[in-house]
Amino acid sequence: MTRILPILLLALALTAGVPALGAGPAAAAGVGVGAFGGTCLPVVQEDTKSGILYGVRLPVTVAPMLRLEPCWAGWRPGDVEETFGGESYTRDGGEISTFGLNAMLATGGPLRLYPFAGIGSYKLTREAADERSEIGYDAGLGLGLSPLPGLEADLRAEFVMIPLDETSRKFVNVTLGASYHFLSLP
Amino acid sequence: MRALRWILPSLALAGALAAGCMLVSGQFLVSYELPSPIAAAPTAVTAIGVDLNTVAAYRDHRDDLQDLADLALLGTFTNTGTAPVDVDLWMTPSLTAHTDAAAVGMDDTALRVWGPLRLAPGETKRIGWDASAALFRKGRAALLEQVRGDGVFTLYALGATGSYAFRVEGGAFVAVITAGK
Repeated sequence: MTRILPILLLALALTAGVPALGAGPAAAAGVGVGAFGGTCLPVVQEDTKSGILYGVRLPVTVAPMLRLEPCWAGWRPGDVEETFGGESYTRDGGEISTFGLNAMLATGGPLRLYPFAGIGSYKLTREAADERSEIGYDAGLGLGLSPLPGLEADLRAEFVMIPLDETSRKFVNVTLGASYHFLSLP
Repeated sequence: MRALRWILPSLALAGALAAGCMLVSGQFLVSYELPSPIAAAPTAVTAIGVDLNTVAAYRDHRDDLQDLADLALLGTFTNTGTAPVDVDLWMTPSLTAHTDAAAVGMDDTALRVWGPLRLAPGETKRIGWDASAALFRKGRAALLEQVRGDGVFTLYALGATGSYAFRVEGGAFVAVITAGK
């Protein structure tokens, strides 16, 4: 796992170098606030079903074309229902809360497709199970739409991996969000 | 420029793959149905031989098994006696055939892994998955050892008092194993 962090940092460094290539319009520096919600889909987890997630984010454009985005999200994976001995039983799907930081390309224009990746602290709780706090990683693609100056709507799909000792819990999240950029610097 | 849009996720994915096992892992449900009904009294207990190798999900992931994410004993418990009873589940790490509670108690390898589930006289209780998982906390390590080992062990449902009688119907031992290469 210790190998992932340097690679993410390398990715950030490469992203920061993108403006030097001079391709595409660069976004101005600025700060915004946004909210999002969507669905979390467990990957190879027979003890969890798909559920919902929601959260807030604080997009900060720190350099032309580079945006950092601290965020908080609450997840509610779905309960599992199974039949044993002819009876139906339900197991709590648990809850996850996370504080994270994503880095992404912040190209300009009314419509943009952008990759992002990040790291976060994930707290996993479930009825009758020990609480765990772990560092997790995410990467994905977003599709942003800016119908008005300062206002942005986006659709994102991301893959999240939360390492647990030698294994992990993995999710694919699909979210719809909106953000308002209230501070813009030249 | 277009290629650069893919650098971030591609490198993140490459990093995750370089980290090895974690992407190739998952949580898998293993359930083992117990004989039904099981009647228990101090002088007449039922040895429940469990062989997880008969469960396909266990066989498929046994070699890559890392941990137990969840455990539960499900079923409907009825106190058929005249006194309250605390039902416990005991385990011996190999196949044994004790026929009374005293013999289980004298077995040095026997461990209490689940319980207590309190039943009033005549009470019938269908224990839920969440409630049952909470009663397994102390026995988790012992069962993990068995699940990671040969997957063969014996369970005994016993009362905690000197005199009791209860019945278990539709019982199932349920484990969520985590496996990763």
